[in-house]
Amino acid sequence: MNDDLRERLEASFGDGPPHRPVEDRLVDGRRALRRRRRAEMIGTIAVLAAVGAAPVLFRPAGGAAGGGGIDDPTPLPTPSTTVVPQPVHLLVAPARYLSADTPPVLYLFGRMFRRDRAVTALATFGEIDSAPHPQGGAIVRIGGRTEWVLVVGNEPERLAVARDAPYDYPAFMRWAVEAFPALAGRLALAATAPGPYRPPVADEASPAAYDGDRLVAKPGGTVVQRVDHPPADRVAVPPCHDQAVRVHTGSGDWFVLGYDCDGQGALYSEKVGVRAATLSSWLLQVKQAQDAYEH
Amino acid sequence: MRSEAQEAAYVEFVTARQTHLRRIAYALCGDWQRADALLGQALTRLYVAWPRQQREGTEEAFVRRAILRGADDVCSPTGRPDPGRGELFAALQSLPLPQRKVAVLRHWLGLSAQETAADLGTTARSVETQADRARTALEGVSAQGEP
Repeated sequence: MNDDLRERLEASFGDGPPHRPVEDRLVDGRRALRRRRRAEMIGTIAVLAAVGAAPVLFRPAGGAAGGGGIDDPTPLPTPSTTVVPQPVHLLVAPARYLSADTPPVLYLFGRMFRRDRAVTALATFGEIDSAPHPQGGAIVRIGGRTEWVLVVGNEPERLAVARDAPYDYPAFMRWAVEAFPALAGRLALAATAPGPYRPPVADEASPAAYDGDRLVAKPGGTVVQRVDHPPADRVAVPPCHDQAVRVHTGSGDWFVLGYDCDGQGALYSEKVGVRAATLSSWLLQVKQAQDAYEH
Repeated sequence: MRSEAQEAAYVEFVTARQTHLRRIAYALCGDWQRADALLGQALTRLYVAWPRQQREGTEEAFVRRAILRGADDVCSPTGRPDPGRGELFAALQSLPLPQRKVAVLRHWLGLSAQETAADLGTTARSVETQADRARTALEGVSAQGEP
């Protein structure tokens, strides 16, 4: 924190004109509270009315009414046990940005969108994020399924993970806090490695893997060169660190840049010779690409 | 209407903190009229939410967050600096609103990146990026000419 900047900002504001009387604030508050209580009462009545009417509204086809109802009705929630969140308004993404692997929510130019109208967002965070790699997530409902989705990066330079889980925002956020560093690191590796963005080779297909916090060769391969703190480490998000190795395998040599975040590893793996012949020149290209990306 | 004790506590909080809280709104909006409107909205919300916020000791954070959210509607995206406030204030107002919010929380109020991220509903990493850009812009302004 820059104390000088802080003091200069502090001095630039002044205290302003006199305040409105506190009594006015009380009047506004009381009025708002009355409105809130009225709305709650109306809402409660509406829910009770809907539950009472449910057997009529959702009678199955071929039932006592002799057809004409709705097939396979979705059970209504029980008001006393189920909290139904209000859907969050997200715009639907233009179709030209969609592909076969587009997740239920995506970023376009730093703003979060829904993939299509079948996706209902129940909760979101990071809806607007102007960082080079925006990060956010959502709990979405698609048909009868609830999904947690995390997204890093604007289309098409995007990585996402999703899992089926019930609506539970605190649990979702705990998962997000754990999963984001590795997800963001993986994207940073892919986006800052030499050449245009490509989704990274799956870690399972990489000739290297993490053993604890150390990048090592998988069986059948040998680490022939190692750089513990490559230039890319300069902008790693703490507590994450970059390290790089060259791995010799029976089918050729690989460069692997690893991004480790307290036991969660992410890798960027590329065959030697695609862009560079030596690890140092490959890492230099990574650094140059990274500098260009960040500024 | 809240109980007499609750209203007394609310009045005590507003009296003690409204000057500071209005300055946050002023830093975001750049003029006192909008800052007053923004603070008024936030304090009204606080009254409605008072019992829980008081119980949890989160009154100030609640108002600060309400100001930050309300700024999207009340403040101009490009800022409207009061004339004669000085170059630094004008530079702050010239920042895009999301960056201005980060600058106010990080560089003036001294919140951590995590606290700022929590207030803004974003990530600490995004906050750091915005904070760096804001600092560069603000530190470029000469201290001379400040009121």
